[in-house]
Formats: sequence, C-alpha cells, structure tokens
Amino acid sequence: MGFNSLAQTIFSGLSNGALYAFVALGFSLVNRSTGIINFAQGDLTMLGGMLTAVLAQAGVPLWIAVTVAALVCALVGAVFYQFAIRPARRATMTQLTIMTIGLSILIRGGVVTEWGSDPLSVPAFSGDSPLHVLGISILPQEVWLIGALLAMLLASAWFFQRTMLGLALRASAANPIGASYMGIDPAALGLVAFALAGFLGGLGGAIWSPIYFAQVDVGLGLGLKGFTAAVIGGMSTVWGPIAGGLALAMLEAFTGGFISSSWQDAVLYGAMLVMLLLRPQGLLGKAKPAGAADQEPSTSTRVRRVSLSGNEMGLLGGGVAMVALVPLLFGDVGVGNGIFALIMTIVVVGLVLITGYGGQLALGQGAFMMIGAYSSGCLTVRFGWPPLAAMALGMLLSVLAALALGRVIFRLHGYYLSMSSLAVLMICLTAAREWEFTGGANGIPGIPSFSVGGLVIASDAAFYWLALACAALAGFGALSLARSRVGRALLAVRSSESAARACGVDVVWLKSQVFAFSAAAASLAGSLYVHYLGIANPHPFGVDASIQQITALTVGGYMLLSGAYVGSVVVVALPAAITWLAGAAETQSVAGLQNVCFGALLIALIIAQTTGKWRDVGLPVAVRRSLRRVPVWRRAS
Amino acid sequence: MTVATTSDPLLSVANLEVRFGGLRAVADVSFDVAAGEMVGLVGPNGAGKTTTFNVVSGVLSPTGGRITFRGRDITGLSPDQVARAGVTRTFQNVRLFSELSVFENVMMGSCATEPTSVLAALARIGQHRRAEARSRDIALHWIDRLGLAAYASMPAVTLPLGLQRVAEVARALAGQPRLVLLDEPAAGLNPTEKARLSSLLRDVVRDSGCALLLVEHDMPLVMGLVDRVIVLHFGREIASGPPAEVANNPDVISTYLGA
Repeated sequence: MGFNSLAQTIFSGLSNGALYAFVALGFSLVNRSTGIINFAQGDLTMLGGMLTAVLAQAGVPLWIAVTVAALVCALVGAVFYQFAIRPARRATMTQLTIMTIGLSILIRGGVVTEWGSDPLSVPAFSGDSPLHVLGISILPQEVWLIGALLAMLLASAWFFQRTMLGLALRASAANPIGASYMGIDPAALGLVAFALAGFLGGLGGAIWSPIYFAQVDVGLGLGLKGFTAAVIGGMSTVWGPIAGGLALAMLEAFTGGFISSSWQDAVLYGAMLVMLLLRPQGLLGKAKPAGAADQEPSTSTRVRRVSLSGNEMGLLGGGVAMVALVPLLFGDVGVGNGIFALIMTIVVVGLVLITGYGGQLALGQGAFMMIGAYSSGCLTVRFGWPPLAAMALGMLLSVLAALALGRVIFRLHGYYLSMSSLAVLMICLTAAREWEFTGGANGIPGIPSFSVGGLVIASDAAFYWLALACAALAGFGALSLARSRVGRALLAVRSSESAARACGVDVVWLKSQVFAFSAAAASLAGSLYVHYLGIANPHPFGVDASIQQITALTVGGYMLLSGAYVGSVVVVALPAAITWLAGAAETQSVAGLQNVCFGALLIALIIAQTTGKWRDVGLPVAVRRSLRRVPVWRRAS
Repeated sequence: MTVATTSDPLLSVANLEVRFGGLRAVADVSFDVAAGEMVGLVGPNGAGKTTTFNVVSGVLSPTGGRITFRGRDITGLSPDQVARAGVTRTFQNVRLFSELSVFENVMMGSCATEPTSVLAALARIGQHRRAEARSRDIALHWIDRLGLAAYASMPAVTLPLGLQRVAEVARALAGQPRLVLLDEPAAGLNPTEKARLSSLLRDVVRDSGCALLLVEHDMPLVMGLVDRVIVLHFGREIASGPPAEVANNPDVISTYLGA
C-alpha cells in the first residue's frame, strides 16, 4: 500500500470519525448530566439527515434546511425529556434507558411511515468536485463536516469551561443533590442536555447526509458506533468522545482496507469489549479514585419493593393456562402466533430475572438464541445428532458463554451490560452471516422436526404443546429461583451492593449465574425456533427481536414472571392487529407504524408504571387492580 | 505499644499503610484483637479509623502492611471473601436492604456461610433446602435474641433508626462471624436508643463469644463497653490499653483537647 492510498484511508476515516464524534458527543453530554444512555442518539442523527433531505427536495435553501433539521432534532430531544423522562421520576436507570429505546424506534417508525426507507440524496453544500491535496481526493463536504465538528468542539469547550450553565451542568452531573442545594435545578439541566444532544446529532446528520445518502437504516448502527466511540475515548472529558470517534473510524477504515469490510462491525464491537475489559474509563478518561468503589449508585434509592403477590404461583399457572387456550379460541392462526409468543416467553422469563431482579438490561439475548439455533441446526443437519442432545449442547455452550461474559462485565457498574450485550449480539450476527460453517446469510435449511426418542413432533399443534411445556418449565424454574435465596440476594444487591458484599455475596458470580440462566432460556428458545421453521438464519435474532423482548418485559412487568406470558402475547398480537387494521397493501408503512406503536407503548407504559397507580407493575396486575375497583368484581367480605 | 492479650490473636493488623494519592490516611498502624475481645478504635476526625475499618473489611486495599485473621492472610481480599472468612460488619449510614423485610435482611447475613447457587436453587436439591433451613433458623435465633421478633415481617426501612441499627447487628451476627466490625453504631441515636444498643452489645454479643471492633465517637459508650481502646491520630496509633488507663493518658488528652 503506497503513501497515497494510506493517506486516503486515513482521511476517509477522519470524516467518518467526525460523524461518530458528533454522535459520541451527544451520548456523553446526556450521560454525564443525567446518567442515562440515550439509545436514540443515532436515530436523532439519522432524523437530522432525513429532514435535510426532505426539506432540500422541497426546494428549501440548503442552509435553512440544515438549521431547521438541527433545531427540530433539538426540539425532539427536549420534548422527550420534558414529557417522558422528567415525569418518570421514580424510574430506575434501566427503565429510563428502555424509554430511550422507545424513542429510538418511535423516530425510526415515524421516518419510515412518513418518507419510506429508500435512501434520499442531499445536495452537497459547495459542489461535488473533489479537491486534490497531496494526491488524496477530498470531498468539500468532508471539509464541512470536520470544520463543523471543530466548531462544535470549541463551542462546547467554551460552554463547559467558561459559562455558568456549563459549570452548572458539570456540577449537577457530579452531585445532583449538592448542586440542587446551590439552586441548580437538575431537571432543567437534563432538558438542556437532551436538547443539546439532539442539536449535535441533528447537525452532524445534516452535514453528513450529502456524503452518504440520508437513510433510515443507519440510525441503529450510528448509535452503537457513537456509543462505542464514547466508551473508547472515555465520557468524562469533551476530548474523549472525539478521540474515540476518530480512533474508531481509523480502526474501521483499516479493517475495511486490510481485512474485509464485512467483518468491520465485528472488529469494532470487539474493540469496545476489549476496551471495557482493560480500560473501562476510556482512553482519555481518568480512573475513579480507590475509595469511590464504596459509593452506592444514586439510582439504587429509586428502586422500590414490588409488592409481589403471594399467589405468583397461581398467576403463573393462569398465564400458562391463558396461553393454552389460544389454539382453541383462534384456530390455526392462533397456533402459529401462539408458538412465536411462547418462544418469546421463554426468553422474557430469563429477562425477568436478569433485568427485573438483577437490574441488568440485557439487550443481546439474540446472541444466545443464535447459539441454540445454530447448535441445533448444525448438529442435527450435518452430524445427525438427535434434536434433544443438540439443544442441550446449545444450552451448555450458552451457559458457558454467559458465565465468561458475566465475569468480565459484572465487575463494571452501570450501563455496561446493555451495551456490551448488544455488541456481542452484533458480533454474533456478523459471524453468522459471514462464516461458511453457519451457512452465511442463507443459513442452514432442512432442519428436521423436533423429536424425543421415537416421538416426532411434526404438526403445528404438537409443536405448540411442546413450546408450551418448555415455556411452563422455564417459568416455574425462574419462579423457584426468584423465591429462593438467589432471588433474595438479587434484591439485596439492588438495594445495597456494598451491604450485600459485606454479607458474603459474591456479586459478580451471582449475576453471572443468573445471566447464565437467562442465556440457557434464550438458547432453548432459539433451538425451538429453528425446529419450528426448519431453517436457521441470523434474521430472526437481531436487534428488532431484542426490542420486542424488552417491550414484552415492560408490558408484563419487570418483576412478574406471569407477565412474561401476557407481554409476549401482546407483542406478537400487536403487529398482527396493526397489519389487519391497516390492510396489507402498504407493507412498508405498516412496518413503520408497528415501530411507532411499539415505541409509544414502551414510553407510555414506563411513564404509567413510574408515576401513576401502575407503579412498577405490568399489565396483569394493573388489570387486576382496576377490576377490583369495579364493584361487581369485588368479593363479598 | 500494642498490648498482646493472648499469644495467638484472632485478628492481627501489622504496619498498615493506606495512601490516597499524596495523602497518607493510615501511616503505620498495628494492633491485635483477641478472640472474644471487645476493642474500641477511637480518635479525632481524620485519624484514619474508618479507613482502617474499610481495609480490614476488604472495601479498600492497603498500600502496605498485612492483615492476618485466624492465622490466614486476608490482606486485599474482597469484602465478600472477608465476610466468608468470618469478619462481618455494619455501616455508619445504615445499609439495610430496602426491598426486603427485617427477617429477610437477617437471613441475608448467612450468605457468608451458606452457598447461593443458581443450579442448586433450580434443581431444588437438598443442599439448597438445607441452606435455606439453616439460614432461617439462624435468622430466627438472632431476631429473637435481639428483640426484633415484633418487627420481623416489616419492611426494614420502616423501622426507626435505633432498630435499624439493631437489625444490622443481627444481620452481621447471622453470618456466624468470629469478629464483627461496628462502624459508629451510635451515630444519630438518641440517649435511650444508645443505652439499649449498648446493653444489647454487652450482653448478647459477649455471650456469643464473638469479638467486636468498633469505631465510635461517643466516648462514654465506648468506655462503658469495650475491654481495650486503641487511639489513632493522623494515621498513627498513639495509645492503647484499658479504657480507664487510656482516658488518663496525657497524649490522648492533648490530642482531644488540643493542648
């Protein structure tokens, strides 16, 4: 590779790095002032690009389009904070993070519904003819992007170092209670942080869109890369995210140039995991002082005991029975959808333990589903293993993977599991698509029906009962865990980790074990999935599936195992209902509409759960409580 | 300076040093605690009491020195390993588990002696059942012994501070420790609550044969309770001995009165 192509690689990395830095800056701004990981940051950036494209195509002058796009994104951030995050004062950090996931799919769905998912072209600010400097060709737009980043950088350095508001933001981030005694309103600062993050995202997206098309699909990837950049650079300084963005883009450019562009994502997210393992505070971040480990995370005070009803066993039985009625009530359509709901239930049951009880937001259960799916697929098709043995091996592999990952991740506090589990999922998705052994994007077809001994479960109805049995088994297994000393220890860790450790609880090992349980459940679900469809491919286990699982968890209630059944049924039934209502004519906008509904549902549910009478409970308990208020239903006392 | 009370101490802290950057919070502290002994660690603010405490309980790692417990080197172990080795503690700002009842809080104490295994709990094998049964018995014993029976099923955080402190002591004792570390147990208590806590500590803990090491600012409480007092000042030990003797030590008097 000559000097020119090397310099060209570096420079194209630089302009991508500028974009990642925009996203990472928004991330760290919100994270530093509110502690929230804003999953919607990438989608705000995407929205900025889309708005610019749409306005420019409508004939609005480009500079007005860019300004309007950035301001609209700022407004979206501000409105979201004011009307979603702020009312949910009692929410845990997990719930707040899930709300930003809601915003993310809401934006994505809104954009698809309004403007479709085709890429839109945006005219460049000052022409398309590349400049030639030292033999490298540079697009003028790339200069604009880097220039804008530098301008934002100087502005934010000035803002944080020299203005009262910037100082107040930093003070409030360091100690919200102390700052509020000084007359600083943390909520007003959250508003400013979300608005600024929206503005940064929108501006970056708007300036970037002429280089690459404005397109709805880039949001998720941008968000993840922006977060990765923030982790790599460290969030505690302004320079960290920028250095991280550039480092990430260089890594990406060189992976693309020297290894293979299809493995880029795997290398990037792998780098993030390594970074979390070796230097969690980031390249430029400062390590916390030794004594800081003893401090309780401020969110733990927000967690309240959920009034677990004594008859959780009965509720769980009721949930299973309710699902069992589905084939009787809805016939064949019910059976098909019921199977998908049951498979999702198995995953969500694991999430109730790790996310509800353990307080760790797991977004990458699809990775374990894939381990199960491909174990079943490979071993039955290629090596003629009996399905049960293949399924068991998949579960064992998932458990081992979860234990290994847990030992690394649970030493860190806060949001690390949510992001690193997502990174593991992206790596697994890439591997499954690119690896020949897993059949690439086509996957492994021809997976036989599930069978135990001589009993072959071929018909849908039979498979339905198999899935129901597995879901019931997972549910009651999780219930016995939740009720045992494991469940008690998890609740103890949630309220005071230091006290739990002083009682002799090995917190890392405890969380790893529970994570392993949820991984085994997900692996079981993945195996069932491929035996039902007869093909193993990466498609059903992606990020969309994670979002559906989290929605089901939220609908059902974080701490309620029976809620896993109800939540899964709702999540499977909702898209079907929307398709039915909207008609199957415009499939694309229907898909968008589904995202809008899921996003709005997530946000609305969490607001309801953290403010009103639905506090911390899911649909089943809420319905039961409201029924109790109706006199007819009240038992005679 | 250190008075060796027995030839083979329960806890032995030797030449402990803790630095935070340039600050030497603990410069060179050595002391022993014998089995069943009650020792008070006192000194003005910033003397290094709490730091010493946090090092012994595993929250901080020392930059120098050695901690031996029952002949085993426990320097630099994590808090849960220290608890399982037989040293449990309470906290200055009470840290009961807000989502659990008083009874469940005390049951948590036995995580130091009983395994908490997901596999055992899932399979409901005998190991898990026995662990739960033993935890329950021990929790019941200490709840009864410390007079918490009437509050056992209440959420722990609804108790008044005095009773929360007692519940924390019960939780620490439920780990069947040989040594309990009490971090300012009387802080924030009214005189009645102090007297009650003091008598509970004297009667109940002494009966159990468990040694006590406490950090406390309330001198009358310390003097009336412990066998021996260790006085720290600027990260060093300046006096050690029976309460009456130390109270008359000129160094101690000048430290406290600033003469």
